[in-house]
Amino acid sequence: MVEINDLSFGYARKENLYEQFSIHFKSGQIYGLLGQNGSGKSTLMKIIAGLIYPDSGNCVVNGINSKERNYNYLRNLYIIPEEFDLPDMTIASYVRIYAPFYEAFSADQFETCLKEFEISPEEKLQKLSYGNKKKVLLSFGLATNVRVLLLDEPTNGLDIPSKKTLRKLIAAAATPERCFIISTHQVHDLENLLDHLVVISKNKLLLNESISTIAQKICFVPFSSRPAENETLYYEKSFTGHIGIVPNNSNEEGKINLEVLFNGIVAQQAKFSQLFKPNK
Amino acid sequence: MDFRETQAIYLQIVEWICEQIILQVWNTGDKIPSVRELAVELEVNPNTIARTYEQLQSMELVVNKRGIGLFVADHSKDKATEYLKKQFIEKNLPQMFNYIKLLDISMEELNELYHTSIKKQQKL
Amino acid sequence: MKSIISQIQSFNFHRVISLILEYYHRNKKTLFISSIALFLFLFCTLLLFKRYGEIGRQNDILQYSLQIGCIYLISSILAVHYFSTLWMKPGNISALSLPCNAIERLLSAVIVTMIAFPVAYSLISLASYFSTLPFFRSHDLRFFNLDPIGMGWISIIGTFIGTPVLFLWGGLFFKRSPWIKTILASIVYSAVCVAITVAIFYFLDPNWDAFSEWEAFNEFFIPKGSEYVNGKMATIYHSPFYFLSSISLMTCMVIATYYLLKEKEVK
Repeated sequence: MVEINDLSFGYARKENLYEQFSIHFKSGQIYGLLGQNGSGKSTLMKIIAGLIYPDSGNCVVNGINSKERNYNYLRNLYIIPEEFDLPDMTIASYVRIYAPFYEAFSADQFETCLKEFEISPEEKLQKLSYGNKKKVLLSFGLATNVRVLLLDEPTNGLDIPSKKTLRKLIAAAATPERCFIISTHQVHDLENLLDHLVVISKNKLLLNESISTIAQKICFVPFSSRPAENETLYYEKSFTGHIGIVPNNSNEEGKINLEVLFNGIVAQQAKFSQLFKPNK
Repeated sequence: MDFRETQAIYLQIVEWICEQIILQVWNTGDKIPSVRELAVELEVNPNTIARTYEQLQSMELVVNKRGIGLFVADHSKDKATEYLKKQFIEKNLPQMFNYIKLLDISMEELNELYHTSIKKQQKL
Repeated sequence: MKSIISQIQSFNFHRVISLILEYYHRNKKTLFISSIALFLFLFCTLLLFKRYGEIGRQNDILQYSLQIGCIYLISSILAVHYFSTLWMKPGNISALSLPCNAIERLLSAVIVTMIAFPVAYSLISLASYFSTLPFFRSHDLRFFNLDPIGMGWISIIGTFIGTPVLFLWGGLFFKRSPWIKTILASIVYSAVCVAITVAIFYFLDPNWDAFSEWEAFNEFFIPKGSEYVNGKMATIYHSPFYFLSSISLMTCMVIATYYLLKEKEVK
């Protein structure tokens, strides 16, 4: 559905963010895109949305090269950036003006989403808080029924009940035809929704695995005292002692602690890339 | 639903459904919620629920009536009890025994605690 | 080439209309305020002209030029601004990812800046002209003149159609202070148009002596007597070569604008 091949890209007068970077995103999956600040998560989303062109390599979405960026490329794509600007009008007029660009837009679905978020369509966009503006955009994005949804830090600015609502809305909208790519720092907000984890760091794809494969390969074990050097792949202090990542030798899958996993992968790149080496 | 830190979510949902069956919230012959309905309710990925349902089918707790949906199977209550019991004995009991040994709690003391706890539950 | 064909295949005029409506709704306030401002400004200056100015053709020319100039000024400012959503952070991400073809975007801009603006602002200008009439005696009633200095219709149309394209292009091309830079570019643009025409004239008739004397230009800018425009200067503007060079430059600008739209990024 989204294929990035041998991508190289860098902003002018800066080190390249991506070099020979390839990744494929499949439909029917919800991808969690993790990475430290400045690792290029937002840039990757903009490249997929066709808003930034690769310096070399290509990005193909639904069979069309991003360099084309024509109607057929954009019609199946919706991006919700972290920072945005909404025009000075009511929510209802916003929909009247922007919905015609999306063939499969469902006004009913939009209304349902707004209602779930407890926002009235008569409200003026400029008068809403950042979080509420975001809820309007999220509702609009979900109602466009596009096939590729790019959400950059979607839970940023949402209060606790709205995060719950968002999880329900995404669960309802995740269909086999759709692909969600969600970048997030707040790993706990959406962790139970993710199918697949992508961790990037400058220039490198540190991890690209499904949640179940990860759970088959590693598990998270609490230690009452500090674990020995070779006992774990990675460990960190936790509330009750230490929590470590160890290879999973059983047949059972445990639950993944995303935060610890992310810290581990960033700290112990070599060990993890060895473990998650693509095998034929 | 709050998920624990230790077990894969799809398995935690399997256990939750077993509880629903044992508590007779879900009864034999009932149609169970669709994948999407349950995903929305529990705020998890629909693929996770699909995996849960596959597991439930392989455990013969639910049956697929073609074209209509999934239904709670016959004798599901016994099977669910058996499964949860096995899980409890394998996973929770060893840890409990460790503590009992560590804190040197006698069997008599334990017996007494158990009965007061049961009484409390009945009052509720 | 392939990408243009695919864009033409998926071309949809409804989307062009949607883009125009999007522009209108987003800028409703600006458009309304600029219309009111234009009306009031012209109304006041016309009153002043008629009250204190001498009655005569020179006065009329100033007055007509003012009207045309204002329409031109507002149209070009708005034309520079037309694609501003595509480069103003952070709104540019949503603006650029709106599903449409670059050709449709360009066509919407062309319709708005080349047709809608001149027509709407001319009507406002006419309205302000007619609203001043009740304040004066009947001999002031003259019909509104769109071509006060006798440039000829071809060059009037050339100016009103050619320059918005230039300003659309400038709005996309210059990241900082696009308006000033575009004005500079437009001076170069007109100079190139005139130069091409002069060159053609010179090529066709090397002995044609119109441009050895700067008098011709002086007479154009400082009208004398009843002959306002020197015949030689008028010849340039009336010539088909001037028209052709304007048209070809305009076409280049349209193509350049199309590629700017297509290659626009949000870096």
